[in-house]
Amino acid sequence: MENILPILLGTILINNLALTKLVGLGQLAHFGEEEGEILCIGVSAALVMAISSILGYFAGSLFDLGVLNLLVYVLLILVSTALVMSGVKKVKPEMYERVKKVLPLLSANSAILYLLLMTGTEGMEFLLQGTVANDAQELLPVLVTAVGAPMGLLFAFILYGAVRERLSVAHTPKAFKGLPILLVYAALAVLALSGLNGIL
Amino acid sequence: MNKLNNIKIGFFRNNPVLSLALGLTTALAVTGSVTTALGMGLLILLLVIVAGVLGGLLHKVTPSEMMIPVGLVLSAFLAKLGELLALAYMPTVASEVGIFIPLMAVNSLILFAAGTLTEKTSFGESMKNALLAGCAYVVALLAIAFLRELAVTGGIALLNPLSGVELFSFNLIPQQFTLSLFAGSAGALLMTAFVGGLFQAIGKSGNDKGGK
Amino acid sequence: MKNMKGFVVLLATVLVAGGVLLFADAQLRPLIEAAGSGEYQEILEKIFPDSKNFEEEEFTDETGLIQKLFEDEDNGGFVYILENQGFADKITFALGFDLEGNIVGYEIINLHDTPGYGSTVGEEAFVSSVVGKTSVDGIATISGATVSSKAVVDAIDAARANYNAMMGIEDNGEGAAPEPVAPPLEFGAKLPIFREDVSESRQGVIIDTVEEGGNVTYTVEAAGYAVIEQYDGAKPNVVKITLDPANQVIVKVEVLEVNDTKGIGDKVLHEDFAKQFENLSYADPSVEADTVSMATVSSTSVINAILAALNANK
Repeated sequence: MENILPILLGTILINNLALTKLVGLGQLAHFGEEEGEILCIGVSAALVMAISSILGYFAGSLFDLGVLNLLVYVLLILVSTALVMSGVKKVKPEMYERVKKVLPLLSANSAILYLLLMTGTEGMEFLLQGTVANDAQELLPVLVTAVGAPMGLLFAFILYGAVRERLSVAHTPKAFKGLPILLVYAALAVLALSGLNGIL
Repeated sequence: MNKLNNIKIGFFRNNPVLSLALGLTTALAVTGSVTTALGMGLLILLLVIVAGVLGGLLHKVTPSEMMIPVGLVLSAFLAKLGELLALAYMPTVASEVGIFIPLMAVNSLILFAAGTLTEKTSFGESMKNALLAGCAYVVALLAIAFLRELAVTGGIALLNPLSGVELFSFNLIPQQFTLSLFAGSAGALLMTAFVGGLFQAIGKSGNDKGGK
Repeated sequence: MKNMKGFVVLLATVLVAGGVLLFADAQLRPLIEAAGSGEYQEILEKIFPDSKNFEEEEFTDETGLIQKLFEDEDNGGFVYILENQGFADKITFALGFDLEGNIVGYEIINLHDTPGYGSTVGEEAFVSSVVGKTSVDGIATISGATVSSKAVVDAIDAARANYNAMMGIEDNGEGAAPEPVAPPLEFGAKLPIFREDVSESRQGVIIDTVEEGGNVTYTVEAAGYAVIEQYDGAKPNVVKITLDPANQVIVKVEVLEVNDTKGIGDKVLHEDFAKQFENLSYADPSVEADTVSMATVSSTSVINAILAALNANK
């Protein structure tokens, strides 16, 4: 299990699903108004991703899903979301009241489904591409995918939350107010992160 | 997603993908070339219309808490059908878009059309919204793809998505001035932002002229 | 009761959706199969120009390198579509076998590795080392382009194994892979051997002279790239030149030591570089030599060494 930190960092930053592979941006653009909510939503999203990716991996390797793969994945994500939601309800009931309308929509997060689809077609190793460890042991890819990718998603949520906060008070040209300027930011984020390629 | 409830979707103002981030992931993936955007755009329009119809029907029998799961199953179903159709009828486009086709299972535009993201409205109202959103989406896709392909290759080569036969092509910008930046993720985001700004500007100026 | 209704609706939707999908799949599958080979039609026809109908086949492959397998329905034969991670990007190529166990085609579909290095897996020399081999022959990698060529060779091996298993051919390891092959040398500009303007620091210095028969053999040191650039601990290049002064002919040149950049300057060690001097007459003062492309300074150092030997003989 050597070098696990750079591998994890690599997954979180370089192969970050939302930031570099461009999935789940729609949700990042809308969710969460204040810090506390964003943290809760981000952690929930990360947990849903972690749980559903493991469930999806086993479902995919135990059965040949074929045509029904999308249906199965969506159902697995829904189950994971329900689990996480009840968890939030138990742990932080006040927060739950505020986010309960938004959390179910995490089932529709492209990043989460993207992870499920990719591990289905390419196995758990796909997020390790471009980083160290091609001779990885069995456990490592699973760990990285189920831990690293969700952490990356959480990171993305927090990042975008902070950015939106800033953008709302910044002087943006009228035509770009709202989504366009956020997308410009996203483009800059992609460029910045692609510079990290090869450094870790 | 309360803000979607009473919003008036339009082509320039409140464009589904450019202002509301609906179907954004798919849009970023298919706007690499006008051919792909055309093929996928039409496919999505078809799925959106079906989603509107089936979603409207389901809405009548589903309690509101269950609307999200049911809507998701519907969109997963439609995405899979779309995938089968794409593979069968436009394989080159399908192989270019790749994994983003099954990803349409969580395409927020389709979910919106199915009525998952908003509160109950009448069947007619939701159908109208779905149709409008779908068309505006295709227009936006074509605009972004047109500019991206122009920037990356210097011209446009429009092929028939179904047969691969070239419909027309032209070259505007000489090779030295092309920017491959727009082929990748960052460029896709930038061009979408730019077109979004453009559309919103057009939308706002229409407003100033007294129209609504 | 409301909750139950919700779940019932969900369940019903899932079941109906699943059913329709299975039906649609059954209907559309044949179309999809046909369309699938369409993507590769061009490549398939390149390998088997007399055929038009190709059918995609199922296969089992543990290596994961075989992407698709097509069978030539018209004239018999198989084409494997293979993909492996090269140096910079994935390398995708097609490999064609006839029914007698021979490799009849090798076509690159996707290759973006370094020009001059990894890109050599797409070039004539490598292609001709693949096409014509049988399914039990090993293919040599290209030295200097190890990552890219190993990726291709590994994929070819996977295809061969699958083909042999399918055709019942025994591979007893006799055709083991030969040693890595150096890619053919690429020559650059020509340089006259006799030049007046060689600066003192770059002139060759003779460190040994041996006379034997009618020939004289000089061992000469000449400043190469490392010395000129003043690298730490840089050493000159060493060349052995054998002359036949009576006939004014360079009998042989041996590049003994090259202390320049590995992989670049040491290209002058390639036998093709020294070969050009074999039996080269220097009677004509305008005689020219070929330098190695991308290794001009190192090549020049060898030529300077030769010049020193020739001058010493005047």
